[in-house]
Amino acid sequence: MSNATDVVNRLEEIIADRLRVDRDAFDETTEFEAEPLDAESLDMVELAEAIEAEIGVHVPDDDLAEIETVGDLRTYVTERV
Amino acid sequence: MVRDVVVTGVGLVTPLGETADETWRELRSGVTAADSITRFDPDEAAVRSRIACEIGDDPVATGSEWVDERAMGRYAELAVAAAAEAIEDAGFEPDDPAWQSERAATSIASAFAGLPEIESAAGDRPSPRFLITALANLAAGHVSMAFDLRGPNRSPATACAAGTHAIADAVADIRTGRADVAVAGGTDAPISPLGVGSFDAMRALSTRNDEPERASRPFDADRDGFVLAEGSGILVLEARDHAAERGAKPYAAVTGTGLTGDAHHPTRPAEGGRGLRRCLECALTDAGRESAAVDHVNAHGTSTPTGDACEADALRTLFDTVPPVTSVKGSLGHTLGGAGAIESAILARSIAEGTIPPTANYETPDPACDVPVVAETRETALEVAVTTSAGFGGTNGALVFEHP
Repeated sequence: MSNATDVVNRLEEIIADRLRVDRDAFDETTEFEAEPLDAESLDMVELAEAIEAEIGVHVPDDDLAEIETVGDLRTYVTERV
Repeated sequence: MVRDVVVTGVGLVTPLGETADETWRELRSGVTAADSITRFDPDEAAVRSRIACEIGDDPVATGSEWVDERAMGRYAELAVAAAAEAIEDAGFEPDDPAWQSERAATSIASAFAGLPEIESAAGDRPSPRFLITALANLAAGHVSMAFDLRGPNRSPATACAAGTHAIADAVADIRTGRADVAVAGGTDAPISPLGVGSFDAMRALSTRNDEPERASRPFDADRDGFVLAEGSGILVLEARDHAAERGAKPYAAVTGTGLTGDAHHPTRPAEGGRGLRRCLECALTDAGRESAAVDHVNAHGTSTPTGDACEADALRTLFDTVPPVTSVKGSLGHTLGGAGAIESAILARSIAEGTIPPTANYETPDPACDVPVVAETRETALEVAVTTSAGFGGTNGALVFEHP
């Protein structure tokens, strides 16, 4: 990943793809557990696995449990990429 | 008339030992069989967890005369070896007049069954014997053929509760008069790239790769997932009057069975372990026992953060005072469809010998699992004890064992 914008774009693609929603259906305030993302624990693990494979950032279970919104995840990933 | 059911034979092929005696001895000593995976290359399989409880390359040094490697998947080989031991332990001889084939049931579960065999065969034209090495009911099938069991023959596929359900079904066979004797239990041999990888992807497995012997730690505050294992546990169940007529000495009686569904989530237990608690209540009601009568819980306790906490919740809300709890998975890992049966065999032996085996690696109590976990082997008379199982799909099983 060359820069922060690329990382954020890729992250949003992963979220849209794995949670089967349009890119414009969520923003940084959207909570994963709420509509329209409606993500449950296995979805979050799937997201974390995809982020590790495609962006190279490992999100351990304990940190994953703390992530509530798309913005939380974006901050977590961009700080560590 | 509902007939009483007793356990007259046990057979165990586990990562701790290839017989019930060996497994029991090792279990009592508190050792763990968990170690680095050798069956395949974890790097090549790209798995994060590199730990398993494996049995040696030749898993059937005992009972090998019954094993046909061309026709049996590894999960079936383990079951046939354990069944041979259990039947001999029950005191049945070849051509025994008390062995009436049509009155003998087979009820042997498997969760993954031939998944590794399917994985190996994928992509090539299968051999004519491929399917019989893979189907989940073929452990029961091969055992029935090896030992001439012509009564009811089945294999529950209820994931990690399957071994317990297989025994519950066999108890029903005897109680309702469909059989006098039942060879019942469970088996799994899931240590393959796909078997380990499928739980690894869900982050269900321990990743304590630097200390594999400390990885399986049920109810401990530092647990981080379970350790996959292979093995089989088989019990010979028998109507009490049938066992008495031939002078067999029972280890224990099986007096209650419980089965429930969470109807909640594919992998996560219902909040507060309510499905498992209700399952235990059903089993105790079936046994005609109050919860206060229970001396010991042989727990499912897989060493996952959520599962153990939910089970502890179930126990705390069911019992006014939770009796001593142990999970043998600290020593021998999680054998999926084999687990409930291995634990039942161990519980029968616990009752017969008045011994609660320890929960290996239980070092730091977890406030989320506030139950009295047995960390050291304990000698104590056991009149009534229960064993629990829970599986993906929200399925639960519980059995009540009593001093015979």
